[in-house]
Amino acid sequence: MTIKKNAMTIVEILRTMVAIFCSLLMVFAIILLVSDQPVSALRDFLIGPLTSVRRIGNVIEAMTPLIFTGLSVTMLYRAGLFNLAMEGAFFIGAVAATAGALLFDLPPVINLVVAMAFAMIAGGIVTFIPAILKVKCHANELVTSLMLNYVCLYLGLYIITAFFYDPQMNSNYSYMFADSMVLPKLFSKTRINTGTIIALVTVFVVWLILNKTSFGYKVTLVGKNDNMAKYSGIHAGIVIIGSQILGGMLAGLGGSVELFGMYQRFQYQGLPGYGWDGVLIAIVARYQAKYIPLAALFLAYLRIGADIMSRNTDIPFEIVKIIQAIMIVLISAQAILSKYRQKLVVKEAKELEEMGEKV
Amino acid sequence: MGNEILRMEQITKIYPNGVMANKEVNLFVNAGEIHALMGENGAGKSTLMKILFGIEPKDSGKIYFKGKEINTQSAAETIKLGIGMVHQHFMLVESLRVYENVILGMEPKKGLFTDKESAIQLVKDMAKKYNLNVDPMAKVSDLSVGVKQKVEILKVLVRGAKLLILDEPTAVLTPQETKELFEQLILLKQNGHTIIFISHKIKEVRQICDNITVLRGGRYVGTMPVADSTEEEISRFMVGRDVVLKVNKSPAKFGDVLLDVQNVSYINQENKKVLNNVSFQLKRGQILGVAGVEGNGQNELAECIFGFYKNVQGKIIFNNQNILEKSIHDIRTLGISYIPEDRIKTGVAKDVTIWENLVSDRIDSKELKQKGLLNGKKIRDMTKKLIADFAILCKNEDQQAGMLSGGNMQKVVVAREFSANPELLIANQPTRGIDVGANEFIWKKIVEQRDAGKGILLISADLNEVMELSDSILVMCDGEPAAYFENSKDITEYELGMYMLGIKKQTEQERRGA
Repeated sequence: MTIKKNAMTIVEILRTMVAIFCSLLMVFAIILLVSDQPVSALRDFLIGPLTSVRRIGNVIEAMTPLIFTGLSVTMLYRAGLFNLAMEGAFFIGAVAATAGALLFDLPPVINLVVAMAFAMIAGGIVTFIPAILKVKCHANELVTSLMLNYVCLYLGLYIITAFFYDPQMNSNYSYMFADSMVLPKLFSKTRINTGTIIALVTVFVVWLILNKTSFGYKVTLVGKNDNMAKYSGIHAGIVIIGSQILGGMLAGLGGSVELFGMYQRFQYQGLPGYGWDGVLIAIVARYQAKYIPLAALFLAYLRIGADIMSRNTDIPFEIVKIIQAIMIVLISAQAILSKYRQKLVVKEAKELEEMGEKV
Repeated sequence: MGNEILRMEQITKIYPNGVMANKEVNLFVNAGEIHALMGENGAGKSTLMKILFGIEPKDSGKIYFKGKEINTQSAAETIKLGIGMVHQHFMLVESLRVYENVILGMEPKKGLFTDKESAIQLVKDMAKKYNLNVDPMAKVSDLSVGVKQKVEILKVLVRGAKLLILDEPTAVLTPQETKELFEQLILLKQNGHTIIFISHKIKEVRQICDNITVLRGGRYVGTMPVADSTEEEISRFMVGRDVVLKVNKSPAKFGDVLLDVQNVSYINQENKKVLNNVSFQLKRGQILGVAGVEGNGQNELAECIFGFYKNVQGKIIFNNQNILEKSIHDIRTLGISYIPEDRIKTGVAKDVTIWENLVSDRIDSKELKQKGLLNGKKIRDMTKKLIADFAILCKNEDQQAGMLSGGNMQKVVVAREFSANPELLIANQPTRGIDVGANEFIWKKIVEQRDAGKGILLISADLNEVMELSDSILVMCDGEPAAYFENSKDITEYELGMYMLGIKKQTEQERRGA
């Protein structure tokens, strides 16, 4: 059987495309208006990331943490909760991984695995808090999770300063990790490491959970209509809590992979923001695990392009934020293409009508 | 033929979820008449009026009012033209007084403030002119339904409406209130107003209307003068066949007791006792119809049995087990299925595919899995079979459930609930607002289940459905059983109405003995 994508899916994909296209167009316009060297700025921005192996490497490196947070947001939002604690979970994940790396002296690979497990557990606990408050006390998860992120930040910084602070460092950095804790590099001249492979495997696992297990099915159903899920005999509360814990674990794992892939010690002084980026990535990927790497690659490419442009020309890096903002606004604007959508709907309804008349 | 005040031509409306609510519908209304717009639930009457009123955009067609084409985009614009609508569900601010509601948005001003005196006077004058007996100072929340309706009509008149649309005005009224309403409508007509009267009650329409336009399944069937038509003719137009639906069923063979409800009481979240000491038994092979005016505890009774609530008092014995306080999941596993009252809120998830809707109760079943993972082929095979068996009209199983028409959406629910192979099926308004074909199909399936020795608890506000389909009838009134008839043929529709309205009530002995 050929599976025809239904009209709604087509419209959704088109809308995403239109949003991306329009936001890029606007940014080009801004560059042309304000820059003294618009041509070289645009060139750096668009093809800069492809001009050297190191830069291509930078794109892949930047993509890796974004994949984790994108997956995390996908998992969190599929259940219909706007849980924003993935930002805190990512950060706490890195803190817990630091603890796992510095507290034990286990054989090389095992210690790495233990540290990552620490990160996942810690991340899961963070997102569990808004979830249980939602299910048991009907507290708005948006508010609780947003506030929780600050708790995570200061708790994490406290843990690092109190237990793992390296007095030889001027800043608030932890001790250096053992060499065995650093994720091996894959290519020379770049910092691409096995973390990227872990990320891609995670994509597959999340895809499997969401599409091939009854748990994933339940998460989607609860997110779409929890009334109907409950009436079908699904324990919506358990499903929500499970999905939120899982989402936090993904973010936590991302924190540890980023830490061991790119750093030798814990260095964050604030929330790194990957969690917020995850929201954009999940939206662009339409909450589908399989599109997450693509969306993450896209954002990473923009970032690196803007970075190169800002170093060579008079356009600042923050231009990327404008693109992100416009994209979110446009994708969430339901009215865009709504006429086209209605046309497709009308066509589909008429086809069904004719089918009905033949029966 | 008088002169035409309203002409709606070839109106087509498809909702964003793909439901074709109107297809090339016509409506021609003469000035100064009471024009009935008739059709069953889901025939597209309300949609047509929403389009006229500017609340819903149309996909094609033309509207002429007083000879000029109009294309209003909002209710406010339409009201200005002199068209007013009394909605089925009142649009009143409960906490305000009557006059405040009437003048809301068009307050007479004295400087910066509302001129209270003249507002009250205005309402009083209008009320007197049209013989709408309401107290301008009364609080809306204290008023009865009938009086609230008068306030609505007053609201429309004060805004200068020449054409009034009344959306099923009698649905919520008692017979006395209905009579009063009709007198007022005739007075309005004599004053030169035109009225579109939406209803599916043939008798009422024959009482006061001049012409009838009938819709069926979203399509225009025809327009005729009331004087030239008989009730049978109108009903044939509405239903699309000669008489009201009948069902072919063999005499019931009752088995042993399947469900034993004992002294069940339930106080809802608004602290109202919605079920009061309800007891009854349901046997295998029996269709027990629960009749009653809506909101008398029937829905709560079904949801109690199916485990929706906590803190229910009494006992519900199913197959010798008390199922009270069990989870919905456990109740389903024990062999009870439920067709809920509201298919859009509870019965289906509109935004997911048909196959996802069909497996929601059995997603953990081994039959759909292979090596612990969901197996796409098994799921597809099962859902395709259900779509075929239950004649669900759709493109394929990947279509969104929200794209289906009401009848087909209901068939999705019915397919899932019946194929779970339950011992007991609770059907709560199983055929509300769906087309005749689907209705007949669902009835047939219910009778099949009964003949297979299953128990059916049928809850319906549709008297014809209760009378036709049930073997036995339980009447609910005010959260209590008012009467029970072992054989549904022992009671007439008229008598049933007496029990439903609480005019008559059986004693407990009578119910037991019957």
